[in-house]
Amino acid sequence: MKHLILRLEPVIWALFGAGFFVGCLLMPAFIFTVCIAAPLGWLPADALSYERAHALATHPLGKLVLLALIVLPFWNGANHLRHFVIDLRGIRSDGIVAPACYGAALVVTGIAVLAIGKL
Amino acid sequence: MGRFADPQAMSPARPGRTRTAPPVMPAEFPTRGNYRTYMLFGACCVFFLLSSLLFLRVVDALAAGPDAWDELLREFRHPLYLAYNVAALAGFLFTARRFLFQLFAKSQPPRIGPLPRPPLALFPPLLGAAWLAATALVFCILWGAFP
Repeated sequence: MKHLILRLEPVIWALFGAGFFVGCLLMPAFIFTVCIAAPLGWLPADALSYERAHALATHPLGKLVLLALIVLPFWNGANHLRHFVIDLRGIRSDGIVAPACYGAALVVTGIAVLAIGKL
Repeated sequence: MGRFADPQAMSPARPGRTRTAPPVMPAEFPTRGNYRTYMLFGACCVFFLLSSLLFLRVVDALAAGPDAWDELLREFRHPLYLAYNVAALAGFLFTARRFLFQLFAKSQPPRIGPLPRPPLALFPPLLGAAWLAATALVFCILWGAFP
């Protein structure tokens, strides 16, 4: 497992970097709009009604953005959590933490692909 | 790909006569000095993990139909959800500030592919402009400025 993770490090670090970009450039606006402004009714009427939100999400570009918004920040979080735990608990914990973090990221990637395919 | 490097390959067969102190963590670790910001930056990974799952829930509600979508927006009005989302927004903005304006330029190699690296002073304004453009675009689309 350790050697497999070492071989995959370049891919994981690429996903980590892409996750930073998606998380920094897109997440704040999405969180503010979808998770704060829309529930509190700050948006214009029908801006995020079901029909419009569904139309945006089912557009091919919308699907791609949603996939990136779910998958890349999760890979970023998984890799960052692994190194955060190494900082706090030492390298010995990595034998369990690394497979758990990347396993969870793989599972979430699969679920996200299925969920977006269902749209 | 050949064999992986063995970090012990160059160590002497017998321990040397020079005594070395065992490694210890700095006294400031993890909550004082520069370590505080470093650990806060690391802790923000929780927001990356949880907000990804929250958007998975958004996609699931959109797939389930109008009733599920309205129910989700009603749930997001709960004070706990609102508190989490405000904290997550602060966490993402803190991460964006540190990653885009402090760390990114420092981590670039002298050559990027065949091209020399642009001057380091150019990175913060370019990344700031990219952040502003992306945020404005998302706001315009989601707030209904575009049909």
